[in-house]
Amino acid sequence: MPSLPISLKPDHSELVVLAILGQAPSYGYSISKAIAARSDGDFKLAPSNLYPLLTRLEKQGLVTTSWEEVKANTADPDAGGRKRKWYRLSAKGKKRLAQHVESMRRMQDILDSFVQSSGALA
Amino acid sequence: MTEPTSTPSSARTRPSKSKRGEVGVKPSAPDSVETWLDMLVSMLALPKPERERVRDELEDHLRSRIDDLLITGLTEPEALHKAASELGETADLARQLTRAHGPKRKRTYAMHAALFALAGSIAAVGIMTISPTTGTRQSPNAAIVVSDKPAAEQHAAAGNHAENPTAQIDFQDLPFPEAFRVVAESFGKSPGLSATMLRRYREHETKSSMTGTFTLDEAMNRLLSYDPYGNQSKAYYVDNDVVVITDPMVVIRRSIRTATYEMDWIESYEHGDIMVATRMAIENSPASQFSQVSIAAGSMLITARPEAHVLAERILLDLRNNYESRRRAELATEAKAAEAIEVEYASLLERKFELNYQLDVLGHQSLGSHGRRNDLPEDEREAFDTDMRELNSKVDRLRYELKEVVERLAHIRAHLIKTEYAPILNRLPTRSTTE
Repeated sequence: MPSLPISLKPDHSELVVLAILGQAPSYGYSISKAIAARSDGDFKLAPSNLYPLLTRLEKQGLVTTSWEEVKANTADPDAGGRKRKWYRLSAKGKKRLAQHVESMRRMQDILDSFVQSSGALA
Repeated sequence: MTEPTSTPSSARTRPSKSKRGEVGVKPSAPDSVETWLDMLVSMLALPKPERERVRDELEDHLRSRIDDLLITGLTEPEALHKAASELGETADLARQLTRAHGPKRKRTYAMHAALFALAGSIAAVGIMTISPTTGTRQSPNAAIVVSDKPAAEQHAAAGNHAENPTAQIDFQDLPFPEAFRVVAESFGKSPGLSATMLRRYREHETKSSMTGTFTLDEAMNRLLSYDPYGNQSKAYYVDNDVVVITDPMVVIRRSIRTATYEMDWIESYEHGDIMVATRMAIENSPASQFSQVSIAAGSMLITARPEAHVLAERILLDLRNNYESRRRAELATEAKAAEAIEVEYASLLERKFELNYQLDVLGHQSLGSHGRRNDLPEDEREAFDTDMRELNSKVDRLRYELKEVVERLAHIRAHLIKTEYAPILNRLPTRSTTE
C-alpha cells in the first residue's frame, strides 16, 4: 500500500540541514543533493526554502560561513571560476541540533506507542 | 567532503588563471547563466554587497547543477532550462531571498530625527572649521585659489604652503595697477584686470608698498587690503598664467564642482532622508552659495563649492557609520528575540507532548475504575475514592496547563505568521480616502 506523501516542515528542514552539517561542512547545492539522496527522493528541500533557511541559520549564529574559489579544469585557461559558500556547524548549532534530536526522539516514542496499538488492532 | 579554505567574503575579485583546479566537465554557457543571474539580482531589494553575495552563491548552485545534468547527457540549453526551473519562479525566489537577507524595515520618525540631528551636529562643527572665503583677516586661507583639481585636493592645496612657491617682492608707493603687475610678474604670471576695473583703479590715488618674501596668496591678500574698494569686494583666481582680480562671487562660481556620491550602502527608501540631511547641512554652512543636492539613479549629485563637498563627504561617512552600527545592533536584537521565541516554542511543544502523554497514562489508570471499585471490600472503597479524586484533580490540572500551552503556541504561531507576512502586507496598496 503506498504511503502518504511526506512534506518537510520548517522544523524538520532545520533539523535535516543541521544534521547534514553536523557530519561535515557543506555548501548549498551539496546539502540539497544529500537530502534527496538520503531520503531516496522522498524529501526535497527547494532552493527557495533552502537558501533562506541557510541565511537564517547564519544570522542566528548556528552556522559559520566561508568562501572558496572554485575553478573548472577546462581547455580554456582563461575561463572564469566562481565562488562557493561553505557552511559549518557552530557550537550553538550543535546544541540546537541536539535539542532537535531529543525533541524528535520523544515525539517518535509517543508516535510509536500509537503505531504499535494500531498494529494490535489490525 | 574537503575542508573549505577561508576567503574573505567581502573580497570580490575575478578569478585569475589557475594551474590546477577542480576536476570537472566543460563549464556551462556563461552568457545564459549570467543572464538568469542578472534577472534574479535585479529583483533583489538588497544593498549591493548583499546582492553580490547572493548572486555568487546561486551561481555556484546553478553551475554545479548544470554540470551534473550535462553528465546525464542533456545539452547545455536543456541543462540550464532544467536547473533554472528547479530553482522555481524567479520572482518568488527573489522575494524569499530578500525576506531572508533583508532587515526589518521600520521607518520611524525617531530615525529621521537622528539623521537630521547627526547632520546638524556635523554642520555645526563644519561652520566652525570651514575658513571664510572673504574678509579682512590677513589669513593664508582668506583667498580662494581655483584650479582644475578635484574638490578635496583644492581644499587641501589652499592651506598647503609647502606647495606654494614664494617670491621676493619689494616695491614702494606704487599705484594699484602697477603694484598688481609687479606681484603677478614676481610669480611668472600676468595681471588680469578688466578695462573697467583698470580705469576705476587709476581714478584713485591710493598707493601700496610691499617688502618681503611672500607666497602668491599672501601677496595678493596684502595687495587687496590696499584695494580702494576694500578687499571684501574683491578676490582673485589664477587661470593658467594669469592672475585675475574679480568679484568674490565670480571666484566662488568658478570653484563650483559636481560630484557623485554612491548610496548603495543603504536602502533606497532612505535616500531621500540622506539627501535632505546633506542639503540642510550644506545650506547651513558658509559654503552654501550655488549649491544643489539631488538624487539620480541611486546616487547623490552635489554641485557645490569644494568646502561643501568636504562637508558632504564627512556627513555621508558619519551617516554610514551610524547606519551600519545601528543595523548591527538591530540584527543582534532581532536575532536574540527570534531565538528566544524559538526556544520558547520548542519548549512549549515538548511540554505539550509531555502533558498529552501524562494524560494518556492517567486516562488508562482511570479506565474501569467503577468496575474495580465494585470489586473492593467496603472498608477499602473510601481510600479508593480518595485516590480517584486525587487522580481526577491531577487530570484537571494537567488539562488546564495543556490548554494554556496550546493557547500560547497559537499566539506564537500567529506572531510568527504576522512577522513573516508583515513586509508583504505593508506593501499592499491602501484603500483610497475618496472611495
